[in-house]
Amino acid sequence: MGSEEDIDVSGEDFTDPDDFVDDIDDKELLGDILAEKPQEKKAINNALVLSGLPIVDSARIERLQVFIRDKFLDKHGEVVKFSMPTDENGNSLGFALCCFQTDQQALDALTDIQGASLDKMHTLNVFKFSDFNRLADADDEWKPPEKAPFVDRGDLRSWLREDRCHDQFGVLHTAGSVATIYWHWPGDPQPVDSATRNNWTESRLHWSPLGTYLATYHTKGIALWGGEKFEQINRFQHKNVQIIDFSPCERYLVTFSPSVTKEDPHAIKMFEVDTGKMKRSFLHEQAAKWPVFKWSHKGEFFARVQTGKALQVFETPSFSLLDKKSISVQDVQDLSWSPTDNILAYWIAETDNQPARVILMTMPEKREVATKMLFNVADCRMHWHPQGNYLCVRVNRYTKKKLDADNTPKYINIYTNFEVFRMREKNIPVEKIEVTDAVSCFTWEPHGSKFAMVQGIASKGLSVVFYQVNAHDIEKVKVLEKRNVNTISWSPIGQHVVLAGLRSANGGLEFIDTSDMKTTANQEHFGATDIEWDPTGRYVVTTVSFWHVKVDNASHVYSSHGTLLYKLNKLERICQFAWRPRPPTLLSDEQIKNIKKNMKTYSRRFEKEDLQSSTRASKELLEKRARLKTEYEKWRAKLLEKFRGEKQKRLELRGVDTDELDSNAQDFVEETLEFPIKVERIRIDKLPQVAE
Amino acid sequence: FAFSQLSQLNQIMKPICLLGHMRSITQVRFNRDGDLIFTCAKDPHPSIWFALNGERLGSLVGHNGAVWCVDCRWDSKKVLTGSADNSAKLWDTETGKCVLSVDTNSAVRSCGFDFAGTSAMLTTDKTMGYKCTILLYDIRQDPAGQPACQMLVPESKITSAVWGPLSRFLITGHENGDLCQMDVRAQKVIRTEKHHKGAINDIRMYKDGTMFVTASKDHTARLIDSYELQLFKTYKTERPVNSADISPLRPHVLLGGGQEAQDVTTSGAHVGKFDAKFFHTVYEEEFARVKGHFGPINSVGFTPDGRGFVTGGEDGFVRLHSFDNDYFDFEFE
Repeated sequence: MGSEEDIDVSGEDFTDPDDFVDDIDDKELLGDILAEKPQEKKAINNALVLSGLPIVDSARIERLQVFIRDKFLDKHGEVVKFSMPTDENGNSLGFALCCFQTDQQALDALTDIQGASLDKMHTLNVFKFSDFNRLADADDEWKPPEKAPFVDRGDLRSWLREDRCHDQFGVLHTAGSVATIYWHWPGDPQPVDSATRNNWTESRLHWSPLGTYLATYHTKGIALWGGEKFEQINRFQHKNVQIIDFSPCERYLVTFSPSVTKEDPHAIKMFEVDTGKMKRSFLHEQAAKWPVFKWSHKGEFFARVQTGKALQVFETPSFSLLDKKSISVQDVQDLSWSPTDNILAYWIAETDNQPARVILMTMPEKREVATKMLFNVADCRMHWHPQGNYLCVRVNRYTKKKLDADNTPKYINIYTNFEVFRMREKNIPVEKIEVTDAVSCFTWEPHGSKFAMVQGIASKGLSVVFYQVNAHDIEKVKVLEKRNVNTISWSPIGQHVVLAGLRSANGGLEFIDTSDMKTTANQEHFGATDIEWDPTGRYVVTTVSFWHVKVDNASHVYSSHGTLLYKLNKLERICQFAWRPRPPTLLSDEQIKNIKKNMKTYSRRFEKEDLQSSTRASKELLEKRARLKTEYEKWRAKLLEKFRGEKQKRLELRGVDTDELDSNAQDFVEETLEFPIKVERIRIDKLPQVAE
Repeated sequence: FAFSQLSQLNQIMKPICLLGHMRSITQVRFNRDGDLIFTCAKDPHPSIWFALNGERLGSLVGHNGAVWCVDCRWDSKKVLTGSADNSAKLWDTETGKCVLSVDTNSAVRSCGFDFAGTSAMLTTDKTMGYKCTILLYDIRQDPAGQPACQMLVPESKITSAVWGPLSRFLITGHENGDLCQMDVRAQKVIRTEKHHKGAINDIRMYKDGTMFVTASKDHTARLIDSYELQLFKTYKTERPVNSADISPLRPHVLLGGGQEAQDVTTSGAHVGKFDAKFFHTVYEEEFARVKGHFGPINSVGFTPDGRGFVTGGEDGFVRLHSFDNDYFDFEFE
């Protein structure tokens, strides 16, 4: 309190002047404290309604109560009140009410027991008591929603109508503070009009899956841009949003933010892209396993796993659970959708008396179309073929399992199986290949029937192995040994593949044509951190991102055969290179076949056009150089004039003319220097004897 | 276009390696006739070589520390060296004898004879409480030892300096990227321009003294006129540039540099980009590279006839190249 003593306040007058009006309200003075002021509860948030219970008679009602409390409620906290209403005969009504000590306990219980199954016939459906009030408060009379004014956003797909079908790409550069969208004119990318902006995004650029929108990240949420001039289409508020996901149809946007508050505890939000309205939000989930919600190929459904308990499949546009309940599956681990059909694949972990299973189920019928039992399973991963023709389940299996002190299993001697489901054949037959080495980078060939993976461990040398799914078997077509590869990047139209050693693997690139398994080129982009094919499969871009490395940030553009076309190194500190995706082709298979047949006619036309544009470009370059040359000559002429003007002074200073190397030739002195050209040492006694 | 030609260049051009320095090369200079090469390094023995075949004519013995700079008088009769042993020495080229030695307060960073060859300029480092200083000596008086005049540089220290046209003023490059014209006799700064964002490591005058090229830590080299310090051309690279020179024969600029030794984190010569780079003077486009050094290049120079060039590197090697005929035929379209 020493400081108070130091200040002499005796002489000061602190009384307010007469006309003073105290117009500062409490909110301004102590807003932060007021926010924590206890509020009268409008809703009873610690009460839950449990429905979906079996209807029992008065004799068994007590047992049911004890069972429910034991199994579902007591572990989440003290149940203050629990009641199960009955009808006049004493039979239960199929629901119960319970009250927890705190809101949080109720919330925990809700998320935990939602959808839990009591037996085959009964599944719990739990909701908050406050939701009742909300529904009761609803206005009795329906008011039609106000019609939103129509906003013409122009043609959102204008970039696809470019004359020569060039693609666009976005580059985030200058350490992330500037973003530019370019037209990819091979060799000479041109910025799109008004699409170079400072601080366009706070973290990265994110194209929607069909390329219609560009999403940018901001502290306040996500902004979408589109149209010819990249005008703002919509904004979605979500504070500190970190990661997003579009539905494949681009109609919905899912956002995740780790910063949740008491008022807004939902970390995941789902928006409708067109209206900007939030459709539903979910409580905090770990973003580590993003996307938490997986979308079916047309965006009709999205699903998540409640690990060990249930699958939750939601419908759009209602955003409610399909058939109003989750699908209860004991020990379920993960799920994934077919990229072309409404088929959901999920797998169930092994338990003591049951093998692990991979199950394929159609939606919304929930019909199991295939099941595969697996033994000694440590982990499964599902890889769909991009056209949905196959599903490959990578199964990590073990020969021995040990339980640690804390009951977590430890697996010994891991090896890998690949179970390939042939989705297009009757009854979905499954084939197995076994790999004893460690496996990484599994990838399918798009529009093809090959898959590739990296086998082995880095210290002993990695090899890249290609397999081909034939009509009756799966064949190992090629093994490329001793490759320093950590990424296998297929062309989006198949056939061509790049084996890349990104990041610490020094940036070696091997371009392979898988039709004959020949290496078409070997390239190196030292320190490359990213690789991306353009959506048409004509170009590959490798990037050294500023986010990973601070020097030599550049993007290199290669042809699909591995010829280096040009380097994008004029931009400083490139962070991200992102091709704008394209919607799938509108051509039928028949039409594509025809084009392939008449390739020669087409290529002749395009070659002619390419030649024209390149002569135009070189003409421009020549004109530019001619201009530079004239400017330079003018500049030099001025300097030379000054130089000539000083000739007399130079002569005075040195006494001889030294303007040119030979201008004082009369003073040159001829010098002769001798250098030994060769030194040879020969011992005289070893001299060859002269023949007599 | 040019890179394919480069590979041919590499095959045919066999450089002469001048092996003689134990430590990193700091500067490489030709005499005006182009028959002698002067090199200095972070060892105490600057050397003189025959440009014809790379044989050593001799070493200049007398310094006790790294030698930062060397210059040869226009008539090739005298050599000037400046060293980190806080001294600068004047040598007789023919005999290799030290004819004059002056002591300074701190290391001598750059030195140079004026146009007439009658006086010598030195700049010293800012260390141990001593300010960066420019010193002028009249070397006609013998023994001299006392500077004819000196000037303190208050701000950023001088990292490179040359005489301007007719030696009316000095052109100095500073650690903060400033470029100045200094009149030492009148003790004033005539002009200051900030074309660079990083230290100016080297300034090299064109043969007629009307323009010069600067090499900077900011990854660029720039072509600037001597009279007004007007920036005319910029040559961009991916690494700090330590040295640059303008060809006396063709519209070419030679750049040498590379990642600084202390920043080299990964092995492999290609990572540090230690190539000598050729740019077109007017179009500012790089058209060829020459490999060879396995460390940054610290000093480059064209032969006075423009038919060859020399590079000296952190790796301690001096490489003397002569162009083959392809180089003289090569034209930008």
